[in-house]
Amino acid sequence: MHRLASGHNTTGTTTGSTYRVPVGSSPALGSRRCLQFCQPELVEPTLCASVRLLDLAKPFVSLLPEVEFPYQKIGFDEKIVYTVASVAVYLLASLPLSNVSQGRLADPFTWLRTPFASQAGTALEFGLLPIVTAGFLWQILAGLKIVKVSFESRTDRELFQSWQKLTAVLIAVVYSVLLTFAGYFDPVDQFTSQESVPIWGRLTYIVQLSFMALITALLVELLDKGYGFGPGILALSTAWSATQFATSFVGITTSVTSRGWESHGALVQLIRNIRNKSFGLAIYEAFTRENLANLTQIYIALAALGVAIYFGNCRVDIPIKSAKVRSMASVYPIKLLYCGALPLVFTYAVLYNLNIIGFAVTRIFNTAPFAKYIGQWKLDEFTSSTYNLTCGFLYFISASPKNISPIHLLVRPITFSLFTVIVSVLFAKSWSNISGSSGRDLAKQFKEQDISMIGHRDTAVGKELGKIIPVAATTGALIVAGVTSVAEGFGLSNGLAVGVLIGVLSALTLLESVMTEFQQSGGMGSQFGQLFQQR
Amino acid sequence: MSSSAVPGGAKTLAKRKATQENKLKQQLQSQPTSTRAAGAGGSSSTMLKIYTDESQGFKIDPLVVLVLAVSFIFSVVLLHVLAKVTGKFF
Repeated sequence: MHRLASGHNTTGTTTGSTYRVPVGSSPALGSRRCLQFCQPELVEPTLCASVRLLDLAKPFVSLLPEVEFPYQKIGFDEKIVYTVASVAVYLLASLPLSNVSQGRLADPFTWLRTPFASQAGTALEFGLLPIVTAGFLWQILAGLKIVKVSFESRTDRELFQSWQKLTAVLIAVVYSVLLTFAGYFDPVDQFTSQESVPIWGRLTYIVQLSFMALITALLVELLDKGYGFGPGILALSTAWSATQFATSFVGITTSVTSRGWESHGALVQLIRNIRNKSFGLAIYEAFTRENLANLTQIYIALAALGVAIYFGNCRVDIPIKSAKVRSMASVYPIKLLYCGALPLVFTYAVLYNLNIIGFAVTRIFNTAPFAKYIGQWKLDEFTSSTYNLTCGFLYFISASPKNISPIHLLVRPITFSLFTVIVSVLFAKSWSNISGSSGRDLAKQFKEQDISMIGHRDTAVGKELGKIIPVAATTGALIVAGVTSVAEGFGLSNGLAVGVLIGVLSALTLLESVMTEFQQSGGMGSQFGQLFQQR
Repeated sequence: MSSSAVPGGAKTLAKRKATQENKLKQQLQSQPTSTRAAGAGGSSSTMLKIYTDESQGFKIDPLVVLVLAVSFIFSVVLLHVLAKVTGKFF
């Protein structure tokens, strides 16, 4: 019950836990019993008799590893240690897959990778994508009642969760098989392509990537279950975009390119250029280089970051008061970005999935006539480390700037923006209902915690919140998607801006849960807690 | 006698049926659509939190997860070393 209470707190955290009355006290229980007594036909007979999709997971449940709940509440310090440890382990896993030569791999998905913490040719080839996809897929299927899940029953919730984990691993298996047979892992240069990887080598890709998906799911689960902070997906994604941004900005590591040694960080490269080349050329190159991060991307990302922080603070404060304690008034903030980064995460998850499937299908069936309508990828002639989308359906919903035809170049930003905005807004519109944070759900929470809105009756709370929340959710999604389509639409940013945008919004969500935890636990005895107190 | 015996509610049978159906429909609609709506934690508006229940699978300690992840990393490194040593792909 404690765990639920901490997850459920609404505003001023302290109000949440102090007002709480033991749920299931006699009047509520009595009325429910009466209801069931009067209407025994409430339980649908068909629901119990037929085999549901949900039940098909039962044979696999015993096979899936499951992180157990903590026996006691995890302290503030331990939580930080667990979070840092699991993030560090995740980042460590970005080492090249065995039998893959990472340097000679051409990557068609560069602009999609940052939000999903994935890296080409490494064990993080899919990153968080399978888990995010499985999570969204099942939640939406259940939310739209395509799959019947009665969330009140514990067994159903467990089966639902097992399905999510199972689907994540399955997606990783399917995608790694697809990409392997599409020749994605084969080196692109002519000299080495003769020595083709034997079937055993190919099998190891699939095994490694599937196992990594399972491990990622477990790391996410570890953080989700209260050993660490926040939803695991957001924590890992935030850490990844932070490291990506730092590396792109001030990364001092170097690599060999056709122009000699180059630094990964754009700022470091600028300094290196100024020392070695003429001033004008140095600056020009620092803004325009394509193989590694350039200063244009950094500035776009910084602008996106500023906009995200600004809009992250916009909110409507709803005055609330306790129904029990007199003169305990507070405000309940409803943010403009009501769904945070999730609309963008969803949109990019859709894009990433479409691109992986599209790439694999066009490669496997490269002679079929429909292949070129799905998408055409061309090897980048300068770096030969990326494939660029040049034509086809997927080109028009991508951020790839590579095309010779001016009509294509003009149309693509528009179609990309339209796609991003429409998908994000549609998602945000239904997500507040699906995820159980619509006005009605909030009103229910208010009632449970004896909170009432000042100036409204208890029965009107749901309606009143229902006026604000959908508007906030869709407007917020519109803003976030709009920023993305401006930042990414021209194809200059190569995924860094959207990564930073999602990273910042996720970080704000994470920070909220960290501060909530800090305030609730007092944080006095903890070592890390002192960091938050020095103000 | 029997038709007028039940006190309260609508008078005609058709109306009674309609209210009954409405009630059922409403109950069906107000069923929770997510773990959070059912009061069991999970995804909220800003977070995608998907593993919040403990199902019956074999349960492992969080430290085991971390050790498993690290050992996976080492096994991949080992595969690299093997490939280098043997000079072949397997």
